[in-house]
Amino acid sequence: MVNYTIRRVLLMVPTLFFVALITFSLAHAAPGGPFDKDENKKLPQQIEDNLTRYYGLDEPLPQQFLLYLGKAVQLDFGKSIQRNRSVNEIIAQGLPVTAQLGIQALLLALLIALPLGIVSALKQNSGVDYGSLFLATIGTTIPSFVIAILFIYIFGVWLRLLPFVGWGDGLDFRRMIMPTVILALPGAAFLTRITRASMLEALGQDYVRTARSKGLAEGTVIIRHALKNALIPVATIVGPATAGLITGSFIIETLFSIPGIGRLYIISINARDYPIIMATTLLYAFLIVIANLSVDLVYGALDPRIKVEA
Amino acid sequence: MPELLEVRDLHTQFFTRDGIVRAVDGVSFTLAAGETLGIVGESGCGKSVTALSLMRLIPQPPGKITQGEILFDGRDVLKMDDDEVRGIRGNAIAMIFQDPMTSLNPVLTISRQVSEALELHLKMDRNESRKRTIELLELVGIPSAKSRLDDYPHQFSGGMRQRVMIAMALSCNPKLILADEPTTALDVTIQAQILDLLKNLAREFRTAFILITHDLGVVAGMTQRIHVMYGGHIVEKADTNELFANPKHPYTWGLLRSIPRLDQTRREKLRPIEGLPPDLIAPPPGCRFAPRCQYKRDICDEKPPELVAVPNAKADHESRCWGTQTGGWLTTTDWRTDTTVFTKVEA
Repeated sequence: MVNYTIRRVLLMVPTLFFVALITFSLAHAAPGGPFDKDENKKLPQQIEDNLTRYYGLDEPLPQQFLLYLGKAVQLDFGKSIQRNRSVNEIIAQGLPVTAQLGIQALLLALLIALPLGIVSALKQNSGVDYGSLFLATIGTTIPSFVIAILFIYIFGVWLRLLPFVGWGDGLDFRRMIMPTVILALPGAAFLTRITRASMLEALGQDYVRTARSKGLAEGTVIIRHALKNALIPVATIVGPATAGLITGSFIIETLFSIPGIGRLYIISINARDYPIIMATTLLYAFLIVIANLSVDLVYGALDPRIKVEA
Repeated sequence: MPELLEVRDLHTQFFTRDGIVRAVDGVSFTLAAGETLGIVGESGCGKSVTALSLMRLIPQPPGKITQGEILFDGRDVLKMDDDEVRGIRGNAIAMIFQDPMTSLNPVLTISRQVSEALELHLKMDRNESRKRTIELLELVGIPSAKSRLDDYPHQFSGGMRQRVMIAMALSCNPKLILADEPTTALDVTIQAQILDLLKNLAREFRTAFILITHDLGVVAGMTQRIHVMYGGHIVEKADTNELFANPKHPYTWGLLRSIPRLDQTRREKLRPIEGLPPDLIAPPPGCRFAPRCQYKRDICDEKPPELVAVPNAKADHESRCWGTQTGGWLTTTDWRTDTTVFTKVEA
């Protein structure tokens, strides 16, 4: 188990290297640069040349990349071109906000999906089941920016119930409601369907009949015998769902003006702020790899047939 | 002897999109305490559904017990509320299922699965039930039972898993064990071991059991009486020796013909029963076996025969066949010497 974990962590090195290489190539392949301005606000050529030299953007690309890597392994991710502050500092400011939003949304998604999926499976073709199907269809088909705008209009503008700009100090509950709910929705929808399907499958298994034949109460049969088996496939989906939350947060943070790294990411791409693009992409890649690793470790704990081996 | 179990006119049906499947269609039988009974028939003739009905384990919907009485220890199981039925399941009546590979929960340890019923019905605490579980596992012949308590089912072989199932069934000293094809999923050598184990344990504990199988060879040495089922009906009832010596239903003859014999010459081929069991949504109007029966006459297609005593046989020998009833045309036919070749009756 320890060996396995170490091996998986070591495997992150090539993963992150290729993520860095691809991101670097794509960012520089995109037309334009960090100092482009409107025609009438254009910087004098001399200043632009100086800036380009200052940020090392005049070097050949492979050399830039290697220089970047050399610093990145020492956890020095350079300086933001736009903000003139170190990337580490900027990310340290935004990450807690994004992390809080993401974790809240993931917990909310699980809190909705697990009970709803289980009840839908137990009461197949009932009102609850159709209700959850309706919700799941909406959650997966309507893009979150459409739902977000709808929510902002209804709850923010029309009913004036909830604020919809900014994040505050992270303790303002009312401000978190809309972004968290909207971010959680697609994941909740997907996880509900998975939970329902795997619960239905578990309930039809022979060992559930065996459990009933022992005279166990229905609640014990469902929780001890069916649910534990049904959760195994659900757990594997939580990894990809985390990735979904991260990409979802780009949109949600931008729409609700939340100062997290999702919004930062979008802004820095538009501004060709190469150091921030690189650092945030690497951070996201790192988080997704960690999420998948934790899922694999949890999977081994849930299913005794899976032995994590070195 | 007072009857432990009395089943009267049991009907279990499944309500499907294509129609009502009459899986068990008027089955009656009795079982005394400590008695052993074999229920034999091919797949889809209602054996398993009969067993599941006894414990009210028919999945509902689509299944439903629509008619009949199941008197267990004098009380009708079908009139009990859910709590009372649960009090009987695993306690007074236990069941051993066909496939030990899928009938044990893969994510729970063996000790958890065996001790569950002990804690529930015998009100043992964790320690007592663990101790008892070790005893039970030793009883069913699991080597070094103590060290295997916390193993999971996938760490056991098929035969060992079926032993665990038997330990589970025995755990609360049931009065009746229902064994539904307990050896079908196992290797032949393991089959014999498991059957021996079942037989010895039932004798030791004076447990009545019903052994359900499609293999007449399996019940031969195991049970005192045999009921042959076909198309949701019992078609022949007799005690085991009588049934093998003097079978009185063409379906039973067919089953006997399809068993390989050690004293058979090599040239002889097994003779299978041609065709398939009847569609239980729209069963044949007359005898349900008539479409596959080589001995049938017009009456067989027209009127369903009743289960009646066989003439010149042991008292409790009954058969559901026009031909072997008093005055029938098969009363003197001996299936062993009969040379009529079992030909295809219907395409």
